[in-house]
Order: sequence, then structure tokens, then C-alpha cells
Amino acid sequence: MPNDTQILNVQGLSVQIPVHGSMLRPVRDVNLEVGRGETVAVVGESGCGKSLTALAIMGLLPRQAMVQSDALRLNSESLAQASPKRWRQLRGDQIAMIFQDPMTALDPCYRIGNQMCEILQQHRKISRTDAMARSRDLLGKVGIPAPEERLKQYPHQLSGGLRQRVMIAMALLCEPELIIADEPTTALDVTIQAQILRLLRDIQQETNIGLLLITHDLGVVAGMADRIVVMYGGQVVEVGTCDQVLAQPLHPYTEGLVRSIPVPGETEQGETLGYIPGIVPRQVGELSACGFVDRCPYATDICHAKSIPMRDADNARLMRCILPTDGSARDPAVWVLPDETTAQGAATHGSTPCPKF
Amino acid sequence: MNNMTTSAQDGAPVSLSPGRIALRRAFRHGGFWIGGTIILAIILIAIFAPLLTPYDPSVQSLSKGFVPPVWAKDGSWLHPLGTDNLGRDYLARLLYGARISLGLALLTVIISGTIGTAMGITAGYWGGWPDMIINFFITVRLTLPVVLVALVVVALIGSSLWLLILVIGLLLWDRFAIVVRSATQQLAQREYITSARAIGSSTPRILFREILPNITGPLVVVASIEIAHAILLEAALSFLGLGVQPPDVSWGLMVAEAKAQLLFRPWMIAIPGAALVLLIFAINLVGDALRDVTTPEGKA
Repeated sequence: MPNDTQILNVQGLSVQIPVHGSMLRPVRDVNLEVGRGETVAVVGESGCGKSLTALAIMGLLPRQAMVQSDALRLNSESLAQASPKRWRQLRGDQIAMIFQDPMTALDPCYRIGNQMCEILQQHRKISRTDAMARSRDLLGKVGIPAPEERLKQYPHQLSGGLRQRVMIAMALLCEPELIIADEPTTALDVTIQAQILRLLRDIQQETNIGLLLITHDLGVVAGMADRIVVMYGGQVVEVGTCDQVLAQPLHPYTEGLVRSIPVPGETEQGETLGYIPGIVPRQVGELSACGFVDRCPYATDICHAKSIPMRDADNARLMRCILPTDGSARDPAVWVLPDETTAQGAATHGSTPCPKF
Repeated sequence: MNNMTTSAQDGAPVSLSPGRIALRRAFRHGGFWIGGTIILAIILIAIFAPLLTPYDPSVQSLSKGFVPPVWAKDGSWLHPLGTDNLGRDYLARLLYGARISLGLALLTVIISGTIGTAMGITAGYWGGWPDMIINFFITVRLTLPVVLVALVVVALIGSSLWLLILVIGLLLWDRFAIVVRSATQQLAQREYITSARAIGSSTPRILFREILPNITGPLVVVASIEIAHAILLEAALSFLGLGVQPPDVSWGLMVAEAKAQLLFRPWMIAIPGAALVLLIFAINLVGDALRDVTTPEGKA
């Protein structure tokens, strides 16, 4: 991707949090790029560092957290050295964020119109009347009926879907270049999810902004993303285009994720879905093995011996695994364990010592 | 959906501010009505005291000492509640006494509320070492017996009304600090605070525009409790002779002065005592009602 269309460029981002004497490392050496008009999805299960990565990019982590990066650039402006004042100017203006739970992300004390105008007036020299007019236009644009009335309402009077639409409208107010959406549909029911995702996609295509979509739902990703960044245990384990990653996952973790999605029409009734045994381990200290080794069905001695570096795979993809890239070493059966082997497998996995903290 | 009325044309609900909703609920609350009426009456009495009685509460008339109240033998409507040992009209003293009791309580709570809220928000929002330091101060304050400290200060520096207000104000901030701290801690975790930071709000803006409006509920409730507390404390100190000093008059002082007559003229201690009970009762009723109508999700 040429550099001039790149909006966000993150290289070697690490987050460390001191907890009770030990050092938690929830984000390790993450590289991310988002281009203009591009949707990049960060995928992974709970606890693998997706949200912390997003908050680190926004500069919103608590002070105890130590953020390091080789490069953190927004439109070629380095954010690593930005002053708190500059951060405040950028947030809401050039980077906007959409939060997971629209129920709690709006201040219950203020009318919708007030909250929207406030953002505009913080970042632009604009009169109250004009700010209201723009807020009303945007509410209409995100598909809210009767925007004039909504402006005068309080958050508790809106449904979850409407509130998430308001959040999207608020994110769009200052025409940002990058929107970070942290699981924007997790708190909504499924029918509303689809509407919100379509809205996000339409707006993203229309305004040509960069969208960093954080989600644990591969179904969400499939319809939205241009590229997928799979995270596990604080590391990026696989990068590729949406089609590549979903059709032919390279990293065993991605493979496990893809295998565990039921596909309407293909997954037979009574068929056992694949799953990944175990949970994400807590990230403490330096890695001395592959981060996924405890849960990987293909794990070898090499995987236990050293941490695995990122390497180039075919078609400009990246993966953090030693398996061959042609898929020859794959076996779908390893993900669907019969009951006995499940029990055995659980026992073997149980005997693997969990990291002590 | 009692807080929404449907407008005729499009069915979109008309919005009321959270404050208005709480007020509406308050007006449906029996306790709020009873307590509010009593407090309002006492406030009006305090303000219009000079219009309600022809007497000056501090003018003595020794020849007319110990006139009994109107319902006792030899009582007259000239002095409906009688006079005290120095011949001062008891009704006038009661009416003017409301001024000091109420005014003192209000000023005290403004002082202690400001201190406590500032401390609580600081501790709750930043956590870490500011929280530890403020918690230390709260703990220290809680170990101090209020009456004893107030007595020592007043005894050492001397008693004046302003000193009394200052001393009580500087002592009663603990509950404000504790309640505001925990309320702020809860709020600081809310996504709309993160979201305010994500749109580029500065810290003072978050504290005053996001946190403060959202803790007014608990603040008002604590304030009502502390007003009652301050009135009682003033009465206690005055009773011990270290509070309000003559010629000023407060209800606590009246109780103190009447204690010598407890067995002979019991109404002298009963009248200001009853006034105190009534006022505290009314304040507590309103405080209870406010707690009912401003529950955490009372905005919903």
C-alpha cells in the first residue's frame, strides 16, 4: 500500500501493566496499518489484547499502563511524542471511537443534541445553531427517524440500536480520518447488528475514512473487512485479506476460529462443531515458546522451544507459525474431537502447567 | 413511561430533563410534601420573623419575667408563649432563633459540601496516591469526636457565630467525601467518561460537566442529612454554653437557658425542643424522599 494513503501506521506497539509486582504484557509488538477507505478487522477471543490495542492507539490507557512503540503515526504525524493537548485536539476530530456498549457510552444527564454540539464546539469554531443543524443532518444520515425530536431527547429514551446510531453519528461529526469501532455490535441483538454493520460500511465507503473494526465475531468480519488481523495472546498471529483468511486460514488459531463457526446450509444437524480447548493464558514475562502452543493441535518440539517470529506467507500474507503455508499439514479432524479424546485431551492440557503469577 | 407524554403529531416522546423527572416524582412522594411544607414554613418564619411578632427577642423587661404561656393559668395573648426569666418574649425568641439555626446549618453545609465534594472527586477520579492521602484524611477525621474538637476549638479561640460555622463546616465534610468518592469511582468506570476523553474533553471539563452533574443525586441526599446534623451539633454546642452566645438566640441556646426551669416551667424547654424535633424530622423526611426519587437509575 502506498504511503500517502496510509492513515494509521502502528509498528511494534507493546503495552505493559504492572500488577501486584509482576508485569502483565497484554499487547506485544503489534503492527497495524489502516489505509484510506480501508476496513481492517482485528479479530481474536476475549483477553487477547484487541481492545487494549485500540485504547493504546487512542492514548486512552490508564497511566499505570506503559505503552511503547517503534512508530505510532496518524497521517504521518507521530503520536508517540504528542502532548496531552495535541491528543485532545486529535481525539474526536481526526480519530473517533465507537464503543461497545451504547447503553453506557452516552451521558444520561444531557440531551442527545447537547452531547453532539459539545463535540463540534470543542473542535470547531461553530455557532450553536449551526452545530445543532449539523447534528440533526448526521442523525438523519445514520438513519434515525425524526432527528429533530431525537436531539431533544435523553439517552434513556432511545433503544440500544438507536443509541449506537447516535454514537456513530457522534463519531462522524468532525469528519474524522479514522474511526475505531470497539465491538460496535456486541451489545445489540442480531437483527440490529446487521443494520448497524451495514450502516457503518455504507458510511465508511461514502466518506472514504479508515475503519479499524475490533471484534470477536468472524461473521461480522466476513461482510465488512478488507483485511483481517488475527490476534492471540497479545500478538498478531496472522494478517491477510478477508477472503484469504476466512477461506484458507494459515495459523492454527485462525483455523480453529474458522472451524468453530456454524455455516447455515453446510453444517449438518447433529454435527459437532470444532472448538479450541483451553483459555487464553495470562500474558506475563517474555515468551519462551509459541504463545498458542498449549492449545495448538499441531504443536511440535520447536513450538515449545522458542517464540515464533512473524514470517511472510504467500500472497503478501503474514503468519506467526512454522507450519507449511500450503495447507498440507492440516487435518480438520483435529478440531472435532470425539468425546473420549476430548476427555483425554483435556487431561493432557490440564497437565500442561499454567503460567504462575 | 410516566416521564413521557406523547405528542399529538408524530408519536415522538417529549423529553424532560432528569432533574425535572426527579422533581415530578418528588411531588408524588408523601414524605416530600409533609417535610417540604414544614421546612418551607420554618424558612418563611425565619425570613419574616420581624413581621410576625412585635417584640424584639433580646429586649429585657425584668418586671415581666416568667409570664406563663397562653394555655396556662394567668397566661395572656400578649405573650402567647410567655416570657423567659429576663422578661423576653418567648415567641419572638423562637421565631428569631429559627434564623440562626437554619442559616448556620446552610452555611455549614456549603462549606463542608465544597470541601468533601472536592476531596471525594479527586480521590475517586484519580485513585492511586491522591486517593490514599485523602483516605488518610477521612480516616483521621472519622477518629476525631466532633463535639470534643468543636468544644476545644471554641474554648481555645472563643465563641462567635462565624467561628462556630467555620468549625462545624470544617468538621462535617467526611460523609460528603466518602459518598462522592465512591460515586465518582463508579462513574469513572463508565464508558461515557472514556467516551468523553475519546472526543477530546479536558480533565476539568470531564470533572465538572460529566461527573458532577451525575452525582448530584447522592450529593443532595447527603446535604440534607448533614443539614440536620449541623443543626443538632449547633444545638448541642449551644446547650453546653460554647455555641451561639447571647444576645444572639438559637433553639439550642433556648433549651440550654431553660434547663434550670425544667421542673417548674417545663414548657420553656419543651417549646424549642419541639421546634428542633419538628425541623430535624422534616429535613429527614425530605432527605428520605430525595433518596427515593434520585436512585442511581432514577434517570431512566
